[in-house]
Amino acid sequence: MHLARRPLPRRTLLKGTGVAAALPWLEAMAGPRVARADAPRRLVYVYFPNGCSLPGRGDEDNAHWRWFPKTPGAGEAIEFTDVLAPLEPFKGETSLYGGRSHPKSRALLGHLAGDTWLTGGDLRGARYDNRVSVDQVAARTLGAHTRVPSLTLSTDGGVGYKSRVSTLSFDGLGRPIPSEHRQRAIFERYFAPSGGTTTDERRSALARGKRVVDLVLEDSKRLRARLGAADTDKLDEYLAALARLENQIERNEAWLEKPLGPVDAAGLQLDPNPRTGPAEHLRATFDLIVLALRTDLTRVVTYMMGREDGMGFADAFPKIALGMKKGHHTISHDTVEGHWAEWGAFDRWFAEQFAYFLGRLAEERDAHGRLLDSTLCVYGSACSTTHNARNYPTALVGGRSLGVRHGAYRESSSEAPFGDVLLGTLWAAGVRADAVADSAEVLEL
Amino acid sequence: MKSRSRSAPLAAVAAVVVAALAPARVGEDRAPDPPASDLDEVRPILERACFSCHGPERAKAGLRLDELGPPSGDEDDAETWSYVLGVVRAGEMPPEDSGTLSDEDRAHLIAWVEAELERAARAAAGTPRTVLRRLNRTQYANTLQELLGIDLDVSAELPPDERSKAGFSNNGATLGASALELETKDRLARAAVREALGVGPAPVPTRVRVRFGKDIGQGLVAGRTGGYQSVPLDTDDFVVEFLDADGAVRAPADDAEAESMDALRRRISVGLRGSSRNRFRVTDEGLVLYGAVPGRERAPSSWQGPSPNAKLELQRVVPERGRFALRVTASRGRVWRSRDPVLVPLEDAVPAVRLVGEAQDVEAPKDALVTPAEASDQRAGLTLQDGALVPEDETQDTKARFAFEVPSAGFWQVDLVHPTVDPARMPSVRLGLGKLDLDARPVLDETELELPRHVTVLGAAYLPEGRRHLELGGPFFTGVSALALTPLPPEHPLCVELEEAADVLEERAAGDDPVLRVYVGTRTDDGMDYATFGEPTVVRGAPGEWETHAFVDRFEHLPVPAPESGDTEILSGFLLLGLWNDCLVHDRRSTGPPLAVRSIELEAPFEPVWPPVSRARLLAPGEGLEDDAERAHAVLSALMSRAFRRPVEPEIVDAWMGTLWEPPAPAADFAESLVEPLVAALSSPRFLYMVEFPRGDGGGIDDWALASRLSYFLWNGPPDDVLLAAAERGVLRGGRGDAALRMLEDPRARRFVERFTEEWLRLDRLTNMTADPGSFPELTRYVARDMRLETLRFVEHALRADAPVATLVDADHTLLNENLARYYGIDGVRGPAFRETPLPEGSTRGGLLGQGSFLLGHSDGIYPHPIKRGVWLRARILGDPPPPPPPNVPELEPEEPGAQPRTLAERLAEHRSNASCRSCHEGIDPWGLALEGLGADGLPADVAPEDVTLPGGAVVDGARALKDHLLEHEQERIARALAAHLLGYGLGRDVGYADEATLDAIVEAARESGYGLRSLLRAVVESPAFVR
Repeated sequence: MHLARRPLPRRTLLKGTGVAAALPWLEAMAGPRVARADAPRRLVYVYFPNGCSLPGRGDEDNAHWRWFPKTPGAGEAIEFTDVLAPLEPFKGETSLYGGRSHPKSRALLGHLAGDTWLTGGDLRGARYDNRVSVDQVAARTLGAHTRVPSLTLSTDGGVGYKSRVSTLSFDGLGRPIPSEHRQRAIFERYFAPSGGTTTDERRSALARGKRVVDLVLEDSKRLRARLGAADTDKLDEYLAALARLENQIERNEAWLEKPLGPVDAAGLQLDPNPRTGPAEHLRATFDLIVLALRTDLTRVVTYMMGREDGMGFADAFPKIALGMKKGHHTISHDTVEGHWAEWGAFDRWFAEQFAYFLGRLAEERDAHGRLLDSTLCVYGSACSTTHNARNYPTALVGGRSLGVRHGAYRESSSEAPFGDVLLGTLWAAGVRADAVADSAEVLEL
Repeated sequence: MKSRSRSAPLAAVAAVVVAALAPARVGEDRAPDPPASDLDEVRPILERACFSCHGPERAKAGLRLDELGPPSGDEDDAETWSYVLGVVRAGEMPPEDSGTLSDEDRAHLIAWVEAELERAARAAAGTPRTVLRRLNRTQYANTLQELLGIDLDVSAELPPDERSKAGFSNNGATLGASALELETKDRLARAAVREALGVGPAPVPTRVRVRFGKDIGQGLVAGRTGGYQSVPLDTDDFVVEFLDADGAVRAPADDAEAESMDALRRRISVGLRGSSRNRFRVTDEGLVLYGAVPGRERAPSSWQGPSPNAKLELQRVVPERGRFALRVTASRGRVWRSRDPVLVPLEDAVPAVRLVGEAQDVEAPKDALVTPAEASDQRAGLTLQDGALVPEDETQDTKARFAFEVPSAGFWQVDLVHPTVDPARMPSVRLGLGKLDLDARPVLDETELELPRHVTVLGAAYLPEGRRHLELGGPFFTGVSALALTPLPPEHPLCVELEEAADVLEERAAGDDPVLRVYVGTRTDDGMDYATFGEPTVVRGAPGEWETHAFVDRFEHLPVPAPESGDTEILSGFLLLGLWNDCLVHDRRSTGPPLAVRSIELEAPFEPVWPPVSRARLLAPGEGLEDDAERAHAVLSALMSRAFRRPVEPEIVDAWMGTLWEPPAPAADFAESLVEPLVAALSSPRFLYMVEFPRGDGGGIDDWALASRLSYFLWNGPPDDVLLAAAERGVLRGGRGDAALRMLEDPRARRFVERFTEEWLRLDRLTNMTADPGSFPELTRYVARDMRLETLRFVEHALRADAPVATLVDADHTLLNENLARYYGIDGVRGPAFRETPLPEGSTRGGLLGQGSFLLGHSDGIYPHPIKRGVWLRARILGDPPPPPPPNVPELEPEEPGAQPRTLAERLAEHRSNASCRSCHEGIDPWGLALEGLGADGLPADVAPEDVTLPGGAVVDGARALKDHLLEHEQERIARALAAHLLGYGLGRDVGYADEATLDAIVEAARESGYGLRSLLRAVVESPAFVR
């Protein structure tokens, strides 16, 4: 027997308890809730475009350039190929997932599936029907603890355009959230000691909002006195929502007053040039993510290292960083002799940059220990071989204090939804959402 | 990998119980209460089947049935029982390997628990009352518009509303509140108030006009946007102009301005992606578009728009928000006769040449012209390998030119013989003919992948006689082994159209007028995300009688490009402003009435009056007052009364003034000082909720509350002056029936008809249905769109005419436009407007049961779905919804439409053979089975009528007999069901057992009119329940 996982219907609750709406734990019924744990739980999603090097299983000569390990397995049996070898130092805290994809994206061209990596949206029809992304679901809950709910970063900035986006994050109505990409601007906006020039404006906006809420709250109490019992319950729902809004405003005000903690810009590269130093460029952004996590600026980050289909800065990275003759997208199409070695080497280069990030997270500590232990990192792409929107290459690293058990390569059938992995990351972070994308069940990571 | 799904069993139990406890059967004749019975009646069954696991020995899942009280006892026990009911009904319990439960015992147990739960529900139902209702998102948006006098519709910005059990989105009990929603509304209200008051500087409009004409753009600057499958208009054939406020062409003041104008012009191009080149042309009169051919619903053509469609492509030159005006100068166009070379795609074409034998030799028809790869006369980026030209570097541009000696002018099918390439590498071919090109991709199945060569149809070319050149290549080129040209047969639509004399084609289209349909969208990689706006506009008159048609809307309502920071990709950031000739053509041989477009102009932001009229209206109550505070008080007092939909007490206005009003600084705009107090008024529950106070005498709600009940019922929006005046005089309650009839005459009543009908008849199922394009090529999105409108207009028409309720079951008419009439095979309907259309004798189409919206919406996209149809008929028409399916019933249907077609008998045999299914499905399936003769596509299906036994014993053999049965026996029940739906929607609450007397009275009141729709509605409004 299978029992549906669903939150307690609000009606039932109200019927049963009458005044439930006024109780703070009502928030729990809205769906996601935070597990009671003092240590922060963090999620970082990192994307590389154009799929991965994946020579056929029979191709022994190029087997070392397969992104995935040779055989599924657990524990020590997991054997990285040359591609993911840079992750070797983190092997004990890494899991790989294979075979999975978003059901609604399988028939799409892989480049188009990039729009749905964290959403599972439906882009098959005439309408662009995208959905909320997993990071934004997480941010609704985890954002309550931090200065900003989430960071949306990329190499190219903005949102790109539908079908070739340059952001991984989508809001509750499925609209793309513009990504930030200029390191200096990001630093100044979030970390500069002055807090940037917008603070005063922000402060007066908050004050304005608070005055409105206060007035309405007070007037509502007057109104409440004139209503019958059933209506009072309903109004209490509204008042509870208003009280939460007020809390939110107060929290935001409090953040404005609270100093960010020591931020040292030394060692940060704020003006790297993606046209001349791709590794420096990616690492500069990774450094900012580490800074954001260490200062608890946010607990949710997405980072799109490159756009699909040969767009944006990242397409030229193989040429600049590795001296190859072709761009990333071209390499992913190539069939000439030695093309797997090229693609594999470039995938490895991406893995090196990601490993740099992991290394930084392993070094840095907050009051609760290593950042890497409190941060679950998802690293992957929305197609496997060129344009094939199935078998998403996926690595999960870190998050030991979230209870994530590592050290396995788990290969699923081609029907398994990628949404299960995404939902698993939410639950690991204590966000008990019902579902995300097309998830069928919660994977215990 | 363990599932955590068992972690919330209590929640699941609670969810089930809500469904079971809520009164289910609306409108059913009240059955006598079952005799009181205690647990002893079923205890022996439970003992045999359940106690071994859920009894004194063991209590699996913490459940002991031996200690459970009767279902009619306390609420917790009832919850547990309804959970037990669910699992027993589903056959999940008892498990196969333990316990025994005979079919007879199972049926007995289920019937007993159901009866007991029903008794409990009846006992619990007191006097039903509407609970404080939040305005749902459309009500909120409509109210904001009317209160402030703006045209901004914010409904799409708000989260969707919770639906009630009956499917309505205005139910006070189900509508919740959240901080996110309040925060969003605060933001929306602030922007709306500022806009209505015209706070801030006057907007500066930009007017851009693109004029069309053969060669009028020669030597001038304009954009040209290429890319995959693009069909750009030659820059010689249009001119981009900037206009001043009076519409005169702006001349640059100096070189710098001229340069900046040209810079803008380069970012404005005209594209016809998705259009076949033989269906549009630039002539001296302008851009001429034949009637559009709807695209097949298959990607990518399904999201490139119909063929032809033309659009201005504006890259990062227009604002993303605000009102705009699109002006199209058009007239009827002329059919052209031209013998210019042209390239067109061929849908569903079969290669004319074949590969035969092991060697895969090319076998071509006698009159075909086949040129092998090595005979190509120019090459770039290609190398000869095993007789084929293949790219040296796949990613680079390539070219191979082939010469042909064309013996006679005509259309030739172009087939490419090429080496097999893995489709995962997205191979493609660009076919070129002079300045024209056409992109194609090979489609291969797995068996074809194993063969070394493949034939792909690239399209058709019109080639004049003599020596001609075709080019092949592009990046990611498939390679070429041979290129074959085969003349299209004379009966091919392209040839027929070509051979037909111009006057014959003109004659064929003479009865129709071209129709202008406009859209806004944004470019995507292989298509566009777009939405039409405004009404389709018929272009009357003779060729050359130019008229300018203006379409005004707001970018906020349409799919415009997302804001971009720093994105500079050459194909991103495009705002598309497009149009097509909406006199749709289904027969490719015909041109339809041509539409000539002389120019397209965009004005944005479009603010014809500044400051806006709404400002003067909002500030009027303070007119003549000198003191700012007094003035503010007067304005606020009037606006808050209007916002709260009842007079506001002066002390509330004082509180607002005291907290939020600050005197404007000298020289500042007085109106700005009102923004914050107004935003607060729009955040108050007095505005966001329908607050209902009792009358002084305690007899139900007061007239102010009644005014809102009426207006949100019949207009889905706020009360107008007339209603508020009647409330003020205290005469609304007595005159509410007449008031309702007046309101139905108002154009706002369409909001009620559309919202109510949509939710009552579950038209969302049609919207979300994907019909299989392979099975139903003619069933395009335009047909589905019009099916929905047919039902909405049909119900509206019946309501206005006070048609008897029998009309819903069967009618001698329906409401059609040309497009849908053609699809249904009904002649004589011209133009895009819907009108009452008589149905031919013997048509099965009369009434809701014969309409495409129901038939397609309740199918699986290929086959009718008798269960969905049966449930719909019972719930929506007969007011007798069957109980919801137990959790985890296996799907009867294949998951993917059409994956494994099974016969009806196979699909439903399971229901008859399985005891746990049968008890419910014998009350559901027959209703749907009787309609098997009406296909998923909304057309009569070729199915021999079979006898079906309805619940109650009547035997019917198909739709006609089913309708006759309903007309003869069920009219009162249908009227009662409609009354129950109207009452539930009108009061925003569930309708249950306690409403039975009310429904009796309503139905009785409407009996004389044959249960006329309007009479029923009036009786609902006049019912005492409506003011309780």
